[in-house]
Amino acid sequence: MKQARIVLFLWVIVLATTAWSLDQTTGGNQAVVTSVTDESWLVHLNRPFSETSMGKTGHLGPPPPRPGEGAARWLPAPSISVTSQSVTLQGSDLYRLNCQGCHGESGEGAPPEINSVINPVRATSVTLVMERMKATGMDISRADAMKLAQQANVSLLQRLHNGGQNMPPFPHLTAAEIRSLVAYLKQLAGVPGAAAEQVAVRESSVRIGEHIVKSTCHTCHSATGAGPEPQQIWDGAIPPLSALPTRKTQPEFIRKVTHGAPILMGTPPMLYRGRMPVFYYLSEQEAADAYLYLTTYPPSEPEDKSTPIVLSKQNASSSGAPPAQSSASGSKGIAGRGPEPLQASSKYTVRTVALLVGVALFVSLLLAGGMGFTIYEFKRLSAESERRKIARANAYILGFPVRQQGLRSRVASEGNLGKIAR
Amino acid sequence: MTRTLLFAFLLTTTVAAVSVAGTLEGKVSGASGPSVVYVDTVSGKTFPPPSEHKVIDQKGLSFDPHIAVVQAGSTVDFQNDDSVQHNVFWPSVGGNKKEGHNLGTWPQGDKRSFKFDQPGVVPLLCNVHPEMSGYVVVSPTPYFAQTDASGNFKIENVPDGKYNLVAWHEGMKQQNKSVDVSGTGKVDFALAK
Repeated sequence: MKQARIVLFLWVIVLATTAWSLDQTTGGNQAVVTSVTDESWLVHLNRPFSETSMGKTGHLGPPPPRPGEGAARWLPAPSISVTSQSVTLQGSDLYRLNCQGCHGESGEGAPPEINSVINPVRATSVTLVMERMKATGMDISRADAMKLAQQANVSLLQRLHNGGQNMPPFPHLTAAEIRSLVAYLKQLAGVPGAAAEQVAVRESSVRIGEHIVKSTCHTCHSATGAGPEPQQIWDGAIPPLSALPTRKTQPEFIRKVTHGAPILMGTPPMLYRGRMPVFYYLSEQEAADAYLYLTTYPPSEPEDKSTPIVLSKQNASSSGAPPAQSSASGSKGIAGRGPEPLQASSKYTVRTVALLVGVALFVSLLLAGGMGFTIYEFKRLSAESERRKIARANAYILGFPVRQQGLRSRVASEGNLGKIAR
Repeated sequence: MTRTLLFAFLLTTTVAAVSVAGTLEGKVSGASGPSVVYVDTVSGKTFPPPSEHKVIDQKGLSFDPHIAVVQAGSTVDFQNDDSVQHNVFWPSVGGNKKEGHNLGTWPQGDKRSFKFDQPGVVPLLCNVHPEMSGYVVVSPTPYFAQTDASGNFKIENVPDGKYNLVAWHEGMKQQNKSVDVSGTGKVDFALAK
């Protein structure tokens, strides 16, 4: 009875710790939505739109209507919500919103400009590293493979946080989002068992819009600047994100993003097939989320970023990134994109380790308790059986007389009883 | 008696080595692309390693040069010139897994160095990019060469003497042949898988 109470007590503690850790994981990673700043990634790279595969989905919008033909009527789905609500995102969604624009649905990218994500992700799997070496006839030990895989993991996370020469950094991703995204990258790369390790995150509509704008739109569209004239667009100018609400209504925006639409170019302005890729893999709701984000968090100059608008409850300590970024950016836009330390990731690691250690401690406590109890019971039972055995042996050694005695006494007592009864 | 003879032999070869330097040449057939030919360990002789470093670039997701031949004791600098991080490791040296080593993973602009003391073929790999492969062939002597496009090789300044010559080609069976050098020496190899 007392033991049962102790076990119950331990169990409650385990549950409480788990709940606390989970709360820490989600609460601590609450994203702070900030407006998009700085020049586009293409401007940063000084690479013309015509000479890149970045952001190009391979889909273009419809050609303009022929003279005399009426413009096709297009309306977004009526179910689209314009307020911010919470949605569950899978790692695959995070990949779609943040990575697919350049790396494509398969993750293979467009080498040599855009590297494939597949091999660097496969390199993080001990099993795959060992399989690969075995296939080449140069098998290595598990310990060596683990070391290689661990290095690959670190370099993958660094790549995500700091970017590279061609790849922008993704400082806006939280630790929870990175975890979810990396889990999906592993599934995409065919890492064994990855499909069972997918983790979802809860995100607001504005946050979803932030992902799309910062990771996808911002590849080609700078945050701020003057809206170009039709002739400038003809000459290849790409409108800044800040000009968007004045250029497009929400339904027009959704159409442009998800289905494509002709655009006014040249002098005199005429309708031409748009050059902007069609993001066919974004839903109309997601395009609406991007519009909501761009209108509620208007694109700003890096200097204006000192007071990021904060959405919903958040942990101030979770993302020290925006202020640090604004102080670092200053005059040059590129500096604002500077490497972001693996702060969020290490925090996540510490928390995970704490959680694991806690759980392991309690599990081992439980096991030890159970083991102790078993040993105790075992000892007790064996002692008892030993006692019985000894008694039996004694009985055997003493043998017949004992039994005789017993019998005799019984007969005697029965006799007595009989006498008494009589 | 035998010891004296051996000593005398060694002495004469050493004297010969100092006095005469010859050329060792030949042809490696049976394989396309560059092969490596080197004089194997000469018993009783050590060679001071060169102080200058050999550089292998990681560029465009490949090792450049693909094959580097160095004398044992040489240091090789692995320089990452790609915009992505690279890892360099080798599972063995000359088939000996105990000599396998993981040099680490580092970003663009950085380099890491390693001193190859153990002779043998070192297959270079990058864990992040399985399509990358390269080789460091560590020769125990300073007498080595890479063949030209048609398989010809020429090793200069080889002292007169009797040597064991090794021919290696990626994906082929290594071949050993003994050769006498007196002024010149000639050996041909026909490699097979």
